[in-house]
Amino acid sequence: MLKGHPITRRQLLRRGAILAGGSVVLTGLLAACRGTTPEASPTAAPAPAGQATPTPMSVITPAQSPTPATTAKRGGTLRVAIIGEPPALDPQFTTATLTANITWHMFEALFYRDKQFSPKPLLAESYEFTENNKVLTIKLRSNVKFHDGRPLTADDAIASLLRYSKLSGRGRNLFTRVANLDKVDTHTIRFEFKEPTGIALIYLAQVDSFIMPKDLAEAYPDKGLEQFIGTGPFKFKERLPDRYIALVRNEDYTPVDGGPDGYGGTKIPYFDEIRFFPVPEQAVRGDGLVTGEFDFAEQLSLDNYDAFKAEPNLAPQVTMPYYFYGAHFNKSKESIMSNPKLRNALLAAVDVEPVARAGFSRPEFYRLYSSQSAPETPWHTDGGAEYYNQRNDEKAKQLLAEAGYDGRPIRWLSTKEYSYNYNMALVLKQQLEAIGVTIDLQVMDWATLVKTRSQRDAWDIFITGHESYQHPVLQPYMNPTWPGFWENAQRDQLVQQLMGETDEARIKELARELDRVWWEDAVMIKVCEGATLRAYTKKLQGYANLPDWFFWNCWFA
Amino acid sequence: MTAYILRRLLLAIPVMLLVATATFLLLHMTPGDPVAVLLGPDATTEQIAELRRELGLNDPVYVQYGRWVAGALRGDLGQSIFLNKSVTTAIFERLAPTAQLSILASLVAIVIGLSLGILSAVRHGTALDLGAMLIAMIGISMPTFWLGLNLIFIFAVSFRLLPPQGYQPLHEGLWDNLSRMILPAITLGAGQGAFLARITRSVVLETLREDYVRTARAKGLSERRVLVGHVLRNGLIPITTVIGLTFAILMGGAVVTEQVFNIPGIGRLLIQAVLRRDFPLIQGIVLFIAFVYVLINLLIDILYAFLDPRIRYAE
Repeated sequence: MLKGHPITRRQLLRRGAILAGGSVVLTGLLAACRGTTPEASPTAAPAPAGQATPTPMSVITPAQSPTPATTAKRGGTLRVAIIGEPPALDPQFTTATLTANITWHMFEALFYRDKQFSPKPLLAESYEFTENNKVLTIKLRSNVKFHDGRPLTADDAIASLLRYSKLSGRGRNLFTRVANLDKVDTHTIRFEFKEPTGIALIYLAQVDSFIMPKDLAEAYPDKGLEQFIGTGPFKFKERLPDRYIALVRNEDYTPVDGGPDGYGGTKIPYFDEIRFFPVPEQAVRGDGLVTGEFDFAEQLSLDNYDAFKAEPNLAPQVTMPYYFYGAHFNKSKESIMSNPKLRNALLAAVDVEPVARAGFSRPEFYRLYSSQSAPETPWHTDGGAEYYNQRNDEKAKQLLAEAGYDGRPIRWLSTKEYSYNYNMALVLKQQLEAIGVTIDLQVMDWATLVKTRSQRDAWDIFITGHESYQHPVLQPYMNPTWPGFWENAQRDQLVQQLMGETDEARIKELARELDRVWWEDAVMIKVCEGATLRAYTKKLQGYANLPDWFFWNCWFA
Repeated sequence: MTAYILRRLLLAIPVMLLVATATFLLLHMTPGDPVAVLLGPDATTEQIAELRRELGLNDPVYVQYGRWVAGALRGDLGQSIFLNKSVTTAIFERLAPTAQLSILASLVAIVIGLSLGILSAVRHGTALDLGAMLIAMIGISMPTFWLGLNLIFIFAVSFRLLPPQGYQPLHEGLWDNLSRMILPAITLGAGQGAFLARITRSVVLETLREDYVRTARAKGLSERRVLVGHVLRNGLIPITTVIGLTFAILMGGAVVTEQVFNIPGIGRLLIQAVLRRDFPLIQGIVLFIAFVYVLINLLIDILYAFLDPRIRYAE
């Protein structure tokens, strides 16, 4: 078709293909740099933990806040840079942290978690445990309205909780103990449990147990919500995927009395609108903050802490408690790590300090302690502390010999999508190889890792993080089907007792026992708690530096 | 001509089918589970298995493939697992930012490429030629994300001249829209411009040695008329090919730039789809990109006939 031209189209196509190939390589690189659905924060930083909660005032809202500040004012649009597009806006459907943090501006549960992460009534007005914690009666507040104006009733609560019992993993878990859930009157519901279930309030204080109108709950029994009607201080406005999610103030919101407290208490919406912008590139979240494109950004690079600090208009926040990080062993019989002696050998060899530093760079950004729960929580104990940070190569080698380890490579799944993950794995690998263990470090993208770790015969170790401010019973690894596949009769018994209990002293005692069993059985190599770095413009007032962010009770100066 | 175009369009069908099959097989060989990502980190194995069953992901690959082809033939590319909407809708929603970015980046590439290329060919062997080709070499070698992040640092963070990221639709304000497109367009256009500069230089150099150029000069035509009327006119065919391919590459290859500048286009949709293993969406986007290539190649071929009257396509 073509003739007489100096460069043929074929040649050109070939050159074009080389160039296009180049971009594919770049894509791979980029994909390897960042992900959007983190199990745990990729980067982080610690702050004076437990900072004072905000003290907003109620000049405008009818509700009375007990600690009025004189400066709080309504108005403005808050622009928040988040790490990516949430998989869905339905916390019953997905357990992604991002989903929970956005949606709890719209949705509320019967209870909330206070400063000590203990449950307090939110949509509930009062509750009562009777018959040795086997019956729980919850009275709902009568002055709560949904965003569409309809009042909250017991029917809504029951329909929502039934949806929760089917869709949410935690919901299913709780409802294995529920014999009956009944309506007592328009504003009262009653749980009847098969066994004592004092822990119910902990479950009902998580955002996945939120209450929506009955018809909505029934319209989406088994898929993600497409309509978002809750009772929260902000209402859904619009969602433009990969552009932003916008929420607007709920003018009819009726806060509870008593002042702000942790994740609840008196909540007052001051902003006209909150826009959440998905910004997957960490550097761009920081740049957008510096240039005033955003007012708040999460999961910033710890390396930039000093730079943010030097910006006159920015307030960086190192947030702890946050997540604790460690390497999970595959305890199913398909894995070499099912041998507890071998697990204990590895545990004995580890020196956590260098591993923590590899993951979180500076001592201000991590904390070392043995418990599954942060010191700020009621579940923090020293149970099994002697197994933490042993640095005992002699013991490790002896256990290794007793375990009959034959030098078989131990398959370790890692990802560079979260830098802490790969960096910590490298240092741990080095420490373990020093005692004669062979580690086969396999680096892959997060989605591959998640898929691979669910196959019992495909791996031996992987690293991840877990909320250190969560009730230990709710940790995912307590479930024997969660990757790690931990089964232990003593654990089952302790979990059972903890779930029944409401007495604080007794709970602490049981939590200590659970920590001890967790260590004795060498469930994982716990390394450290790592912080996350957030920053915001100094114009933003009232922000409470808690592990999960929220923007009620916040305003612009 | 019409028959030719029809024939070419029909030929596109087996090409697309091949692309679709290859993508489908590759995707299903890649480990990773969309459902595990969708349900979040704490989801249990039972929950994941249940949703996989509901979504039909447990069916044998050939069943899933058959289902997909049957749908695609009816114009239905399936439903995105994450976005709760059809793949076609998802792609069309992201088309505007990518198309605009591709057009602007192509403009940048053409301006840089043609001027550098012609300059260095005409001043062949001089310091100017060397300088221009050095710039082109740097342009080709520079990774897009590195250039992008540096441009953001210089123009957005240090001098605060332009916004660092984001996208505003055109109807929400011309400057709001353009100001956010300038840096990404330069980032994306620079590499393509450098490539174009090198092609343009070699084409112009070769054409300059042609007999008809000597004749034109012998006729006493001014150097400018020789260049514009004879050299460039004849060199246009390969240059047009490169420009067309550049545009096609940009339409499908703006992945890195869209990610760095946070632009909600096709490229970013693709990255997210890959990270989440949103199989139907990846499949749809790859097919769309293949279609863009086929279409642009066809347009280039048609354009040849207009650019060079000697080219005629057999009916």
